Amino acid sequence: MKHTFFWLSLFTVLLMVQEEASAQLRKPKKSGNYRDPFFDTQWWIGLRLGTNFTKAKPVERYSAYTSTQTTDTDAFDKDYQGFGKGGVLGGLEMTFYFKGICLSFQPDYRRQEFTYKNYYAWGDPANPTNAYEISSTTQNRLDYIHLPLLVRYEPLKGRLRPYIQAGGYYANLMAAYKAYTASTTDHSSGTASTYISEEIISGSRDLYIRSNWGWIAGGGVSYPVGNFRLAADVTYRRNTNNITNVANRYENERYTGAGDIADDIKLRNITVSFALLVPLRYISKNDFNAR
Amino acid sequence: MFMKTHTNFLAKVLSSLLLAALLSACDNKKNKEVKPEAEFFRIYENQKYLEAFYPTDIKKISDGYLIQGKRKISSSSFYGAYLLKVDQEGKFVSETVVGEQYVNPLPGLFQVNGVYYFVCMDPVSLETKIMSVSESGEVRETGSIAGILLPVAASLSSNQLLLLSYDKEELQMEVSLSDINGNLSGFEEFDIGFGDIDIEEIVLDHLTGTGASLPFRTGTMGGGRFYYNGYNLYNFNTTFFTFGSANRSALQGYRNERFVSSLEPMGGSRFATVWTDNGTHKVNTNLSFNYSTTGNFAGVNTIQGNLLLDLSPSSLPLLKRMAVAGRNLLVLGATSSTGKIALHFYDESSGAFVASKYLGYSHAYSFGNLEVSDDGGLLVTGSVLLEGRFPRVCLFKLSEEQLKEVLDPSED
Repeated sequence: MKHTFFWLSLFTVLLMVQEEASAQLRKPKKSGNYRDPFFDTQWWIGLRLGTNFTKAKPVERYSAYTSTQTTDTDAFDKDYQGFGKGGVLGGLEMTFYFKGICLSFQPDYRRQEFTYKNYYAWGDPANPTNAYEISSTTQNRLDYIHLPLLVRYEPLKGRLRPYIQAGGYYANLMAAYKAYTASTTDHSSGTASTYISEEIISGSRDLYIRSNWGWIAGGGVSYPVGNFRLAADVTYRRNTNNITNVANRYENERYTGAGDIADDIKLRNITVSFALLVPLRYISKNDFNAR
Repeated sequence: MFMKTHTNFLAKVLSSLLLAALLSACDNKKNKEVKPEAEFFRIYENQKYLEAFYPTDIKKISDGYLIQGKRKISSSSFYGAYLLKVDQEGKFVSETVVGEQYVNPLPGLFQVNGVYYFVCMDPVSLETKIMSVSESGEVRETGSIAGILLPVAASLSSNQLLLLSYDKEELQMEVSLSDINGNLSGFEEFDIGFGDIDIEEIVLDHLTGTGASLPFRTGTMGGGRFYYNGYNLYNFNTTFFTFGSANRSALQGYRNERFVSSLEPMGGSRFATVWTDNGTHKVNTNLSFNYSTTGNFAGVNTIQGNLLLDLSPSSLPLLKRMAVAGRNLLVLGATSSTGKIALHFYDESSGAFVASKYLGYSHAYSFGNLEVSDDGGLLVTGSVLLEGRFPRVCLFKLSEEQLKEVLDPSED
């Protein structure tokens, strides 16, 4: 049901954008260049591609393993890796420019990945061969449709236009995958032997809620290329709600059995993206050059 | 005109996005409503290679739960005693590793006047010891019963302890009624007799974990009537008796091969029972047996029931009447053949089977005990054999919602 509402809403937005674009294209062509006061108001539309790097920030930690050693209460906490493996993104950009201020809607489909590690060890001070270690790595892949709305400020009106931008986003989780790999080192034979002891790869959609929202801040620069404008920017996205599905925290027996219980987490994301934009009102071949 | 068109358009985009966010944001609200104590799973780990822990009981206390367990010790073949205190979310609070001068902790934490007690044994004299446990987990000896050796089972009966012990000199099983200081108010002996199997060896193997576990138990029927599950006349029987009287009746097993594993009095002459015949378990939640009639002896092999083929042959099932998820249920807990904790739910009044649930994955689990929570959930403690070599205490908490889904999936 939630899915239906989400898709209906998104479809409505895109339909309106399409209508607005068609209306723009039907308007009489104007001549001039970007310094013409007429260009103080402009619609830009284009494609945006890029990569993003994600880190999960634990808000409340959970683990199947609970240490009974009061001196080592965080022994089983997950070790989150920072902004490691990049995920791809692709989407659209619709920006309304008005005298140096832009309102930009940049929907995209993106994969966000974050990784954490765990380490468990059993030992016996009296006998070093009585030792057993498990190191595990858990990769999490989350596929989202991101719907960011940004306010952008372009202080300069030259060919090269740096800008800063800030705003908020709402994202809807479409799919999630999890890959758990445990490596065991057994010392009991007298020689340490390491082997892959367990691998679990599965969908993990139920471990997360659908909603993810937060704020965005960043900056970039745009430059005219022919009738287009090429933009490159970097944004920092800070998710402000816990994305773990608390009700389903213990529901995936395969991971629970391996001791892997989801923490309450919020995502931190750095997005590097490039956009190729075209002005809607001057898409004609004769009289506009986006310079 | 141009600005107005664009303003209208932007307003439409923003309102649609807001609508999408609001409609999809219900899950965030629901997320915040889930309480961390409603459901959890914990394994209590100390990272020590040679240590082994096996929980035997769990009791709800004012600020969490107290888990009673036994542990492997180096100074004796018997198990040592161990207590674990956890909070409402199952997080570790403290543990008490009871000194090795106290061994053989019998399953059961018994509350008397706000204090918990358990029964154990002196490893040298084999005398019965009574220990108190404060809610902070502090343990101290409150009583010793010199003449009662090798205790094998205990239960609570009107603030007194109903103890079952093995007398290897007289070849008897003895049932004693004692206060928390070790003062006896009742004592009854039951002859084992002679035969071609060594009962002493079987009892010691049971207590040290080197042989088969047997369902030694005691219980109170009311009206001065009690029962014990243990040897009598060379068979493992469920014997009903009255202190100081020859008025006895029994569900008779056969040696250590066929016996009642768990018995839950349901009122009047009705019982719920699991019995085991050479490792095969059967359940009957509507057994009728007139336990108060002198000389009423019925063979366990005559009880009708349903096979429990999912249970491990070595498992000792436990039946308990419990009010969980808004229902009065009879819960059967046991270890499954697949190394999980098996829970079977039966309607208390009709005895009809309702549902099953299995707990545990990846490692081998064995059933320990059950307790209800204040929020209508169910706590299940057991032992998990981590990596096939490290036995540890584990605790599952099933929420009321989870149980409702199990008990009545049509309401989901």
